[in-house]
Amino acid sequence: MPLAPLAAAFATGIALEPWLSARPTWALGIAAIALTTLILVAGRPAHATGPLLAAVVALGGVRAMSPPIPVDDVRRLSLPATARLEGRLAAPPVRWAPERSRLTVDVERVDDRPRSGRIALALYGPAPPLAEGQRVVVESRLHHAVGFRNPEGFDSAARLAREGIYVTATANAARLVALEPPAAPWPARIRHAALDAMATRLPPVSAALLGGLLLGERTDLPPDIDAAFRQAGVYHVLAVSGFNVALLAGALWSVLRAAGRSRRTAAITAIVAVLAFAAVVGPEPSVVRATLMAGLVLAAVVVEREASVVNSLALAALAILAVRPGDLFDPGFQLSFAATAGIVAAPIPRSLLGGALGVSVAAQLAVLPITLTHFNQLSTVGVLANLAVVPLAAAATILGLLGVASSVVTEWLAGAAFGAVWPVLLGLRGAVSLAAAVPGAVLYLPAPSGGAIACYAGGLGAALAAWHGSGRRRPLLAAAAASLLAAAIALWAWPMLAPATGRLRVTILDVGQGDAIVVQAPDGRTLVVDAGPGGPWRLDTGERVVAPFLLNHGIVRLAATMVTHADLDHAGGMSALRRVVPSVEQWEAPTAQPFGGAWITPLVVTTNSARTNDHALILRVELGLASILLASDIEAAAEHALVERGAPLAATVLKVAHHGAATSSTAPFLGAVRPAVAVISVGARNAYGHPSPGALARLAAVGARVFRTDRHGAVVLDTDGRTLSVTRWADRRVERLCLDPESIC
Amino acid sequence: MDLYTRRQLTLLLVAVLIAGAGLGIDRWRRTHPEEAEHLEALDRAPTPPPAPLSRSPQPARPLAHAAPAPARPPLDLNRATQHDLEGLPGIGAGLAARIVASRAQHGIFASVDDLRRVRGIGALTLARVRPLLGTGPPP
Repeated sequence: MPLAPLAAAFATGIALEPWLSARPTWALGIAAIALTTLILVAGRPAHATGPLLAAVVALGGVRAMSPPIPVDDVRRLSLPATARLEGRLAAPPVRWAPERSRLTVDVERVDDRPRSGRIALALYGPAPPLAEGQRVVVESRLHHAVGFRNPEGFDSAARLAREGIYVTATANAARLVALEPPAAPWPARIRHAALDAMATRLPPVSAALLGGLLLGERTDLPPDIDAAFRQAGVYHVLAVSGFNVALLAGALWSVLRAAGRSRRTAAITAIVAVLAFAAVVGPEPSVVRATLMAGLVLAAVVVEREASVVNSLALAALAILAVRPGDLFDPGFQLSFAATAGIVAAPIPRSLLGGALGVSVAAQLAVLPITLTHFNQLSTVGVLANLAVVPLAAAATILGLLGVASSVVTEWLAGAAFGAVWPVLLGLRGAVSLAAAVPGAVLYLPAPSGGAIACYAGGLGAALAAWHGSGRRRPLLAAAAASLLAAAIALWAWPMLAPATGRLRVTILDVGQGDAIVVQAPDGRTLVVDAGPGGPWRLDTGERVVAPFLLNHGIVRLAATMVTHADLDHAGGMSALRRVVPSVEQWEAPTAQPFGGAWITPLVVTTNSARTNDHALILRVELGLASILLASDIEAAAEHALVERGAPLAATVLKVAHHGAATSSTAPFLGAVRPAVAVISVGARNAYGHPSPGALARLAAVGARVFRTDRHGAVVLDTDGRTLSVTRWADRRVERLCLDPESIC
Repeated sequence: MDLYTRRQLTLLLVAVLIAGAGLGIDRWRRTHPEEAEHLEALDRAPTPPPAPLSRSPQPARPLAHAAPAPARPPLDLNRATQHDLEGLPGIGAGLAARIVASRAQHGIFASVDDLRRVRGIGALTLARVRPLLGTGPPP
């Protein structure tokens, strides 16, 4: 019985959920079930499939709808609030940087009153040893989960909501008290013991790499090696995936069969081993998928039936989505299923090298739209790099598993296994850094639209049908495949090729506490002024916010970038941004110049203030009657110097200096600028208390309309020189201003 | 489309029907906790007046569960046996076992409200049993 249509229908229902409301969906489901029953009773089974699939779509939609919020849920607390939080760790703690950990807490009580719900807790400072299942109590600050809100940006709040987390908390690790000793469940203990076994018998970097290969544990992996794996397009070997599960099952099967055991014994042993492995490495969608598929295929061997790989793939998808419908939008789920489906569907040559190449190409083609959508990446060396990396990673995985398993039994066997795995790991690192060093190993490109993805999928499907088909339909299918793929490429490339709009657009991005401003000139040239906070051990907004914004608007090359001053909240993200989106020029002390139809004037500050903020570069961007003053972080001394000098300050829009701090935005300066619109780039819940009430009051006194990135998300200013529209991205509200008092617009 | 045979279609239809009914009932239970609690207590003896259990030759459970007489001293949550707990309104064998397991695993209940740490005890169940319970030192 083919299960793939059912899985596809169920996934469709989940994907449609945002556009469905409860009652019509239930009605549709019930009607579809009734219709199916009627058709079946009437004895026309051939017509019953359609309504049955419609019922499954409705079922998917209903499953994905979020349940009503319980009365005692933490979401119902009035937030933000400081509270004593008591609960149980729902997942192993994640240490993502030295002195930074992330805990997932199933809440039991808040301020001694029973509460329910799940919270993501960010812990600062050295954390005590903690384990999954442990009860803890912690003084913490609770907030509603809010991500950065930018056009085409990554929304961390949406990702948390998929895990059932709507409230986040921050706390100092010293404020956390464990109510129980850390009694890790046995899978976590095995994991720890395995990592210890590797760490004691291998040099640190190799041990960290093996930890990634075997268990997906990447905390101790040096960032440059991590980056090299990404760059080479072989990152999948560092995530625990179906690859590990298949290797384990395959290795056990071959060894036991070679040792003369029956097929049945070999299959049962492999099933047990695979289940134990999945329990140890945790429930990532890719692991669950591979475990279910391996289990089904091996179980078919046990009961001596033929297993359908497509069906077991569909059944795995149905099972995962029924339990966690939100996983449909998880990149790991999508990559795992797309790659497997690609390998299953594609015609793979029989020969060893041809087969390996075929598998690699099929997987890359299938995951292409997914890596572009989530990561804006197209790997050019991935297909070839995988040919070298996958066998090495496989050898390292098998030897590593052998070493870990034998380390509990005999020392000499473990020593031998780890001795053998070390050169393999070195070779793997060599191959990966070689592939990563190829210029243009990864291309950063726009995400495809839904239409482009549909055309691409249809094109690949038609190509497969043409390959398998025969007779007269073949050329027809081939032509359809070619035209669909051409349409996909055209749709995808359109944002990069589209003619310029002739308007000046300045976007003040929501990067938390920091500045990142994108200036798109009327002729399509783009300047980036500051790239937000970044650097190692923190979310790099240059890479995660500014770059995706640019790429997904079809900007793959910048005309210029500029850092106003060296503070980390302005300059931190710039190096990552320049790596992803290359820039033709880097302005350090620009002169007044025309810029793609607009006019850019730097205002030079001469002051003997000792503060770096006062020496920040200030830009004035003009088009027609519209003028935008980007005041960076200057404070009272620089503002005073500019007013004294009689600099051309008057502007329609002011990017308020220093995130609205009390020491900036002095009354004389604001009096000289007289902005109609003021934009404050500031982080929600920042530690500095920005924007200050004084600065807000002074802005109100000169009659400025204030927009804030912490409340309104990204603020988009769009002008043709006569009118100005301001968009608050968080609620998509647009306000229009007429700049020419003489005319009507 | 002749994707499935009649037999397979019937099987799938039954599966979809069960899944849909299950989801619907689960949703209804979450949105209407009071009615759900009401239904849950249907086969229990009505709270007032006490049911005439004495006539049955072998009372299956102690009288306590049938008559929450206000005069009775509260049941000590930290000493109560599984059997005692099953006598409480809204608490069946499963929940009672979980309460005992929680006590064994995570230590005594600091207060009656602490019962919330047991999975399956919601605000409503707690409100019903609170007058009947107390907490004392560990046995």
